[in-house]
Amino acid sequence: MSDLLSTAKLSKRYGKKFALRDADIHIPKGEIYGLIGRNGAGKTTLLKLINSQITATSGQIFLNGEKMRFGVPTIRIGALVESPGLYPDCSARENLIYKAIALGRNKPGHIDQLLRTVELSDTGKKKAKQFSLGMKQRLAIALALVDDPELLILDEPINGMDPQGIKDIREMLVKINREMGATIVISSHILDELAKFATRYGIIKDGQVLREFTREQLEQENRSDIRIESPQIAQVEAALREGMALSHMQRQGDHTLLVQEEVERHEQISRFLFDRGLYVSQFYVRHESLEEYFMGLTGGTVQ
Amino acid sequence: MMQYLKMDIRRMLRTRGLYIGILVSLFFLGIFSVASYLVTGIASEIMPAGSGALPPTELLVQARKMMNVNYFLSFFFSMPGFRLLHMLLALFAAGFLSKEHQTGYLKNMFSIPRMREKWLVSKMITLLLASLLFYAVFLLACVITVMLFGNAVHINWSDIGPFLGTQLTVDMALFALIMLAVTVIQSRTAAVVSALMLSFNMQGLLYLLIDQIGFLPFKLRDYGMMNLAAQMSLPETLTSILTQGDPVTASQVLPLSLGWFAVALVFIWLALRRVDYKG
Repeated sequence: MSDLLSTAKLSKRYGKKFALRDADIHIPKGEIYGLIGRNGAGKTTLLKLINSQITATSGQIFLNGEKMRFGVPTIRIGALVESPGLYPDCSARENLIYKAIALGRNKPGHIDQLLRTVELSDTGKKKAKQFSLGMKQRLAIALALVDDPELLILDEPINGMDPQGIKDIREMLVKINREMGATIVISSHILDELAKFATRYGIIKDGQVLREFTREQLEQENRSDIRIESPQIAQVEAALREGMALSHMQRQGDHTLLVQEEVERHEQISRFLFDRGLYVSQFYVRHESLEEYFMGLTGGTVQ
Repeated sequence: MMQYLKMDIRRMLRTRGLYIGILVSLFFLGIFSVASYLVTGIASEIMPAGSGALPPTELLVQARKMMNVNYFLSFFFSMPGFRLLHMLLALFAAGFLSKEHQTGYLKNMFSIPRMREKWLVSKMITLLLASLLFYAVFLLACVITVMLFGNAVHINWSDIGPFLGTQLTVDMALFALIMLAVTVIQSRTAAVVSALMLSFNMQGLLYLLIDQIGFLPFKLRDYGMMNLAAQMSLPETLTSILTQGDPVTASQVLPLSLGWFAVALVFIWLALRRVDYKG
């Protein structure tokens, strides 16, 4: 699959400090790309560079394989970077109309459709300054959607939102990706939420892209284990070593064993222990979360 | 380009600041009109020499007959009129230009191809249209005032046309300089401060200081755009009577206004290519 967006050694320096250094990312068309990193890692800088808000110190941005000239994107891009940029004394409709006119997209029904997509149809003449945070975020997403973008850039769109709001945004983005075919780049701290719908990830730390991987790769590499608790834990361990030829196991305390291989055979392992007559009080499979995987890669927390 | 311009024109027509500026100008026109009608001091200034012997009532009656469209129109471009029209338009421009930065709405527009060039050209055209609207309304108000004075309305376009045209180039130069401040500093405060300082000719103090030091072979204040523009006058006006020496003509003001406009545009262009949007 060809990359809709890629960067080559993209860097941004402020004085002597690099906010972004030699960033290489590859985002195929149709993907939902989750950009993960701590505060100050360089996520927003990268998104601003793609959105032509700031100039790069060095490096290139490619759209559909073609080098992008600063301020001259060759694909339709919609962006929500940092806080929503809205005219506070205008209604949702009026905010959308301005951008639609500038893009020649003020066609009958288009604004109504956008308001329906972000569930702001009922706001009427209510001014944007009276909106809740969630409503402002949704309006900002609608502004990003005015031009039916091929690439949608969202910088922490679910920050500060309640669980229902997060769920609504997530479902909306999945729908946009599926029905409009938009490729989405989304940065977020809330990794477990991102893990629910992103199909590809990029991890940034201290201005550098550490890794990129797909959801499938994450699932393969994700450390999973089987946690077994038993008063006969020593016998359980011995039985598994002899009877199932398992060796990657780790004892935790007096009654817990972590089996770190053959996790997909957990049903067989469970039946084996049952057949051997060994009492097991707890037996469950654990999957490493995206957050734990991130911490393992970066040696820190997301926050 | 046309679509971006349509957006700006729509926003301009929906900006309260434009109409507030027009109302303020009409308010002060009203005050000046009343003062001109009633104050013998003004009457004695515009009447020919020797008229001081007339009784005050007769002086006022005679003076009122001389108060034509030129008289009311040019006053508010002059120093006694505090360059009010330039100031009001400059303040409107400051608000209009900086609002997108202040609210962050501009972030939504960067993905438009060649957005920066469109922003520059569209804003300049929009501000030009706003100025034309402003002047048209003010001119109409002057005509109505003359009619209320019971005088015949006579608009000499060969005088008013070049006069207003030149003042318009001064406004465009002001707009460009304010736009430069907005582009570089990206704040409403910078826009408003630059609008006030430039329209009130605070740079004239700097010119005065440099002239006092005397290292230039000429007087810088003789080339101050706002200074010269305020000394331009229409015939038979308070300004033309009060101005000493040779009257300032369009040919003296235009090189300065067009020059400042061009210089500011160049720097705006460079800044748009280099300055990061702070958002």
